[in-house]
This record gives sequence, structure tokens and C-alpha cells, in this order.
Amino acid sequence: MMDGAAAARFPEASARALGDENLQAALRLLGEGFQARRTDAVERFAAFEDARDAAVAAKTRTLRHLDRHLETFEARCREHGGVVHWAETPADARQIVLELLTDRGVRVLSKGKTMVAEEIGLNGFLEANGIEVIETDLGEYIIQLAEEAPSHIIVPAIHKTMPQVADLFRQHHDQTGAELFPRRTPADLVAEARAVLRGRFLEADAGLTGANFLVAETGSSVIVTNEGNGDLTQTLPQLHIVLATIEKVVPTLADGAAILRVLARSATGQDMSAYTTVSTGPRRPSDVDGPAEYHVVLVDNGRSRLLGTPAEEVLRCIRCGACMNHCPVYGAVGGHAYGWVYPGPIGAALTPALLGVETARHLPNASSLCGRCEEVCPMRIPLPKIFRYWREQEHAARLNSGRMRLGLAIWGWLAARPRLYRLATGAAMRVLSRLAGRSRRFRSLFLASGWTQSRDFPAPAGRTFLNSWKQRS
Amino acid sequence: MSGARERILTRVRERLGSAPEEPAPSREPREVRSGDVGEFCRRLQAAGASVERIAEDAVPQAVARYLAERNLAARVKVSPALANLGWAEEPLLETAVGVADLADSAAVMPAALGVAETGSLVHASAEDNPTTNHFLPDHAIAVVAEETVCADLEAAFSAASGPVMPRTICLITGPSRTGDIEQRIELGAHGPRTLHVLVTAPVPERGPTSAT
Amino acid sequence: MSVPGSESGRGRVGLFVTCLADLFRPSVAWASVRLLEQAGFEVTVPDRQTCCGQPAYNAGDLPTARRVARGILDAFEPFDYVVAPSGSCAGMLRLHLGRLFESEPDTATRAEQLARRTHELTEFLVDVAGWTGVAASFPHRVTYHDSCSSLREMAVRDQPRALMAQVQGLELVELGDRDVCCGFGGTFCVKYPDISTKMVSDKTAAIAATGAETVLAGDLGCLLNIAGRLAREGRPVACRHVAEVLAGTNGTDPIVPVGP
Repeated sequence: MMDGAAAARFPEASARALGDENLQAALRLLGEGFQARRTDAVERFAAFEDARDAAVAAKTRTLRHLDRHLETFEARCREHGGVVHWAETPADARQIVLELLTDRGVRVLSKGKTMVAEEIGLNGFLEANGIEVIETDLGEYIIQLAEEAPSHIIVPAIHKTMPQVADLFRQHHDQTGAELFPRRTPADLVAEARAVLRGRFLEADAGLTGANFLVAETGSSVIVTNEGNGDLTQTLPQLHIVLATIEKVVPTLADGAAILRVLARSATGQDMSAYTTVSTGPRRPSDVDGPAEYHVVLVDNGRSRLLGTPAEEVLRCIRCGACMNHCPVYGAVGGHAYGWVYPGPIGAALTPALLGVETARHLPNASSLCGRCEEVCPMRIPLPKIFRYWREQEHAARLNSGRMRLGLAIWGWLAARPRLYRLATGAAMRVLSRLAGRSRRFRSLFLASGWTQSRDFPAPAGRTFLNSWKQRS
Repeated sequence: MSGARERILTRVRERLGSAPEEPAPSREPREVRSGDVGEFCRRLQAAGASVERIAEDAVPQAVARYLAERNLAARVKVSPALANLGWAEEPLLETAVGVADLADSAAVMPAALGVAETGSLVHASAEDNPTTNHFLPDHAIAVVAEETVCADLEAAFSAASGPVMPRTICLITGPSRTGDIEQRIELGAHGPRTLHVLVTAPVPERGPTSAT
Repeated sequence: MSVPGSESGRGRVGLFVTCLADLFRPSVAWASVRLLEQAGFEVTVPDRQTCCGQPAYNAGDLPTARRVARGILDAFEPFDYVVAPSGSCAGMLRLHLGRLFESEPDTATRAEQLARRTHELTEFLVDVAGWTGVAASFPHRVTYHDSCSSLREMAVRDQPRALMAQVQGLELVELGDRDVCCGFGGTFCVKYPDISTKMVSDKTAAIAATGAETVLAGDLGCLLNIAGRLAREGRPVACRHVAEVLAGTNGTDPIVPVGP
């Protein structure tokens, strides 16, 4: 399970990530992979900007009356025979799931991909309580074998290269007959995982999925997948548990349609994912398959506290991953460096809210504020603005470094006094310019080692513009 | 955990304050227009499915031919809803009606609707239409009537959800796939490796003087 | 048409010099003055300007940012236009200044008025002035780096290209990753130097791949970063602000002269 404290060690973790050649090889694929595919998908769909506006409007409307939509969801879900549970904290949510399983004697749980389960640390908790958890999403399965955390919200094992996956399969599947698979191409590995996991779907006594969204008017949960694992997980076992945070609800199926129109295009560059499944209650009395019980665990874990704050717009997120696919910082260090469940720009905006600014303060700082995330975000979440908000909280709580605070104070004092500023900077630039000599650069410079460790520091011209300009006029 | 519900809802209300009531401007379903069936077929193919347009009474032959052309065993699990399509006309095709299991390599199942906007099939679970059959077999063969093709997602949800909401509504857009290894798209992750769609047209009513 | 002063009387421009041009590369400011005068504007350089306040604003230090911003409001009140040879500083004035004064309605109004009058240099020359009088020659193969603030905050993309197309002999080769950040990001580059280095190294590799002799940009922050990395890598590519080339002030050395 992910330890939230790891988010505080972003600088060390990112340095390690930059030196990890396998990771760098995997991350290099982003440009021609998800970035190029999204660009194509957007170009194919002339109404993309309108679709974005509609999705944003749907979600904004929802959040404004979130309480009512949650109540409607609960009532409709119950009408269809489902049971709704409410959990304020990760511990509450874990306990609810555990009791549902133990009360029914469940030993084996199959699982579709759900980031909320990562957020509440579900797997480790269930395993400690004697329940075997089978991850069925291929990426989640790979990192389960590797005993790692996901490094991407839709491609959990994006940090692994094909040879690394082949190695994992060799370690875990040999002796099961699967050693006959050639393991030469991604297709070989997909076929092997399929063969190994097939039987396991049927072994599970319960299936747990997340929800891309919940629909209030019908009391339904909706999952969007490509593999079909989520559907097997929620169809075959007798018990289906849905884990969803409270902001996932939308009023109507039509609002869901507005989200679907931008989700896959932004995520994988598909016009539509392979499977979009609306589940409503347990199997009907006359149905020949489907679960006998349907439970939805609504998790708050800090969402309600975000409402009404400048960071509340993160609650519009539909978890497409476009922000991380396009973020140059994520592209440099990958997801694990962020130290918690949600990496990349959305993580930098959300993690401080969930773990506290003190723990997660590096994440919103580790951004050049380039804005590429906001540009591709289908829900138009102003991510750089939210990074600045967390930086403001950090500064106000005096959590940033003393050196930074002192530097800003001196600079600000000077910058508000133009005449003095002119004198001081004029003198400093004159000295620097002379020191630079004929090469017009510094290879190292006192107090600027962060710059000069990898860059020359260009010499200033010598005389500042404003000092020269005064003489012209 | 008792009281969690009230505490969460109370906190949400406190945070939101009173927001004005707003009309729901979600989009209305678009009307069907000519060309939607073609659009549906084109998009389904773009999503990796194979599509064949046939007469509604030619399903057994099309299934037998499809399996033979791909060198697959002439054996299918048939969803109960399609039990009466005249399977006996294909004596070499072995059929069993019911819910698919791991032994079934191919299954034939109905789709309630097609969606032109996305090229999706819409599965709505029912007593004669198990969900499992869409996901467990290696090869899925879906039958959808061309007159059920609707325009967009809104129309599909509206048609599939009423008057009684089924347990499962699934929009199926191509065969199963994954991009989890090095972002390379591979078909057949957990669900079907292939999806073949038979788009059926009504057979013209035959007059009493028809030659056959 | 392109004779300096031939279109005088089109309005008063207050030049926002930017702290980096003021301190490091005055030739950018001189070039800006020249271009604005060529386009027929009366240029004033208010003496009381220092910086746009971004170092404090982006570090979350709003009180300091506010203090610096008040000076800007006072200094640039009297002009029809405020023009900066930087998308980043112009973006700060246009999009962020108002936010600093949410609790002071009068000051917020002044900030909004300033925002409406603020422009990035190339955007101003093309979109506001409609100027097509570039009289410069630069017979080199160049590539152009779009700064993130120009691209995303100021919608500046086509304007510098429209102006560069008027420069005699200039051949533009576009970067393969032209919408990707160079890794500068103000204090980001010194707070997270390893990540910044990775980003700027990707950028210099992309620049080298174009075969350009010179890389141009509209923001000195990016240029100092890129020039510093190119110099460290020993890549023989010169860096200049696009205004310098457009104004024909090519005698100035590039940012860090090419060579050891």
C-alpha cells in the first residue's frame, strides 16, 4: 500500500526516477503513444470543444447540488434492490468492505481497476484479514505481481517495459503451464495474462469495481473499460461491491453521455472505450446471470471539505489521465515519484487536499506552470491556478524554506522601491558582467548552483536598460 | 459508521450554501436520419469489429459461414433470446442455448440497439439475455436489427433504460483490448478477441403468389 | 511604410521592459522601442517599473506580489497601451494582477483596466497595430520556441511567425515539440533543477534536430535557460530574442556567444 508520507520525498524520488533507464524508456513512449492518439481523436471530432463545455456544465451543475444528487442516487439505488453505504474516512470504507465480505464468507475477491481502492489502501487491509485479492485489469495485475503501486491512473504499469513484464510473468507463471507462452511481444504477454486470469474470475466469490460515474436518476454505477475485466468482475460473482467517491455522481444518464463524449478521447484517443457498462441493482429475479447482491460504498475522504474552496474544481475530474500524459514533469519522472495514488498534475492539485499541504507541498511546486495540463483537461480544470493556491497555503503556513522566504522578502522590498532597486541591480549587473570576462558566461555561480549544475549562466550586458534609457531621454 | 451519511451530507450542504435552482440543459436525443445505419457500421469497424449486413432470416447461415471462414469450431453458445432463429437449418453447426462458460469459444447474442454516433452495440440484460455471453467467449457474434440503430448516446440511454431499468446496460464498441504494455493496443485482453456483428434487415413480406 | 516615424500619432505605448531584459539584455528593450516606433507609436519607458511580481506570485507570496503590483498600476496608468517583450510578464499583467486585489474593488478595477491595455510585443504589432513593415534581414536557418505563457495565456503563436516571414533571408524550421515547456518556469528551474535539466535537455535536442543556426523566442526566461544549456552542451546554436531580429539589431552578440 502507498504510504502518504512518500509524497514528502518527491525530490529524492524524482532524482531516482530520472536515473532509472527502464522508466525513462517507458516514459519516452508517451509522445507517440497517448499524446499523438489524443491529438488525432480531437482532430477527428469537430465538436470536441462543445463537448468539453457540455461535460464541464454537467459536472458543475452536479456539484452545486451534490447533496441532493447523492440522496436521489441512494433512493433510486435502493428502489432497484441495491444497498448504499457511506464512509467518511478510508478506515470506514475499508471496514465496510471487509464486513460485507466476511459476513458472506468471501475468501477470494476479484477486482476491477479502482483508484479509490488504492486511495483507501484496500488490498493490503483485506489481505491482512485473510482475503485473497485478484487484480484483473492487466496493468493492475502486473503491478500486483511486482508488488508495486500504480504509476498512472489509467495505465497502472506504464512504467514497466515489455521485457520487465516478461520477467515478472516468468517469475510468477512458470510451473503453472504458462511457461509455454513465447513472451516475445506485448501480444504474447496479453494472451498469457488472459489464459492465467480466465479461471480466476470464476473462483471469486465477490467482485469489486470502481465507478467512472454514478447516475442519480437511475441509482446506477457506470464503469468504462477496454479489457472487459470489469464486466466479468461485476457479472460473475454473487456479490458486486462498487467503491466510489461522492463527487462521482451525475444527475442523469444524459449527463453521463456528455462525460463519455470526452472521456475516451482524452484518455486513450479512442472515440469510445470498448465497454461502457451501467449497473443498476442486483440481478432481477428472472435474470439468468449477474450478482445476487449490489452494494455501493460512497466515500468522502476529504471531498466535502474541498467544496467552496478555490481547489474545488478538482472535483470535476473524470480521471482520464490526459494531464499526466501531457505533463513534461510527469514525462520526466513518472508517477511513483509523486509518492501517492494520484500522480501528475491532477495529483499535484488533489493530493495536498487529501494528505495536507505539509506532506504534499512539493507536488504543486514541482511544476513550471506551463499549462499544458489545463489545455488538454476535458473538464477544463484550471490546474496551474490550483497549484498556485496550494503554494499560497504553503507560504501562509510558513512551510516553504526559510531561504526562499528571505529571498522573496528582500527582492520584494527592493522591487517596491524603484530608485533603490535601480541602484542595487545596476551595481550587481556591472560586477557580474565584469566577472564573466570574455566568455560572457559563468560555469558556476555562488547561490545559483541549481542553475549552473547543468547550464551556463549567461552574463548580463553590464549596463541595465533603464539606466541607459534615462540618458537617451 | 452510523451517522456518516448525515455528517457527509451536512458538511456538503454547509460548504455549498444555497445555490439557485438551474434547469438541466443536458442534450436532447437526436432524431434518426438516413445514413445512421451506415455510420454505425463504419464506426463499429473502425473500433475493430467486423460487420456483415444480412437478411434477418439468414443468421444461422451467417454464423456458420463466419466460423468456417476463420477455421473455428462449428459450435456456438446461443443466448436464449435467439433460440428460435431456425438453427436447425444449419445441421453442421452445433448450438447450445444458455449462459456461456469457459468451454465456449464462440457465442451468438442479440444487441438491443445500435448507436450511430459511436458505433456501439447496446446490450440490455434480461431473463433471456445473459451478460456473461458478451464477455466470456473468445469470439462474440452479435445480432442487431438495422431498424434499432439510434442516433446518439442520449437516444441509446433513453431507449435502453425504460420503462424498467435492466440490471446491466452495456455499450460495446469493438472487441476487448488493452494498451497496458508499452501503450501498444492488443486485442482480446479479457473479453472477446473478435467481435462480429450481423446487422439484419427485415425480410420483405412475401405475397401469397410468391414463387417460393 | 516602414520608415521610422512615418505612422506617428497612433497612440502612447508604455513599454514594460521586463526585469530580465532590463538587467541581462537591454538590446531586447532597445529593439522593442525601435519596433514600436517604426509601427508609429510614441514609446515611453516609465521609470518606476521594476518587475511584474511573478517570482512572488508563483511562490504563493501574495502580500509581496501585491506590493510590487501596486507600483506597476501607478507606473502604467497614463498609457493607451502597455507592451512587454514577454508573454510571461504580459500574461501576469493581463490575467493575474486583478486576482491580487479581490478584496480591494477600486484597485481591482484599475488592474482590470490595465489588463485590457496590456499586450505581448508581437501580438501588439500584428493584432493591434496591423503592422507589416518589418525591414530586417537575417539570412539564417532559425527555429522558434513558443513560451508557454505566450502560447497558452496570451494566444501568441501565429503573430511572431507572421513577422518573421517578413524578415529577408530568414528560414524558419519548426520544432518537433513546439508546444512543450523548456523547463524554465521561473524559480522552478532552481527548485527542481534535475527535472528542469531533463526538460531543457529534451528541448535542446529538439532544437539541434532542426539543424537551425539560431533559436528565437519571445521570452528571455526561456532563452536564458535554453542558451545556458546549449552552451553547456557545446551545441553551436545561437539564441536571440525575436524582437532583436525583427528590429534588425543583429550586431549584438547572441545570448552566450557560440563557441567556448
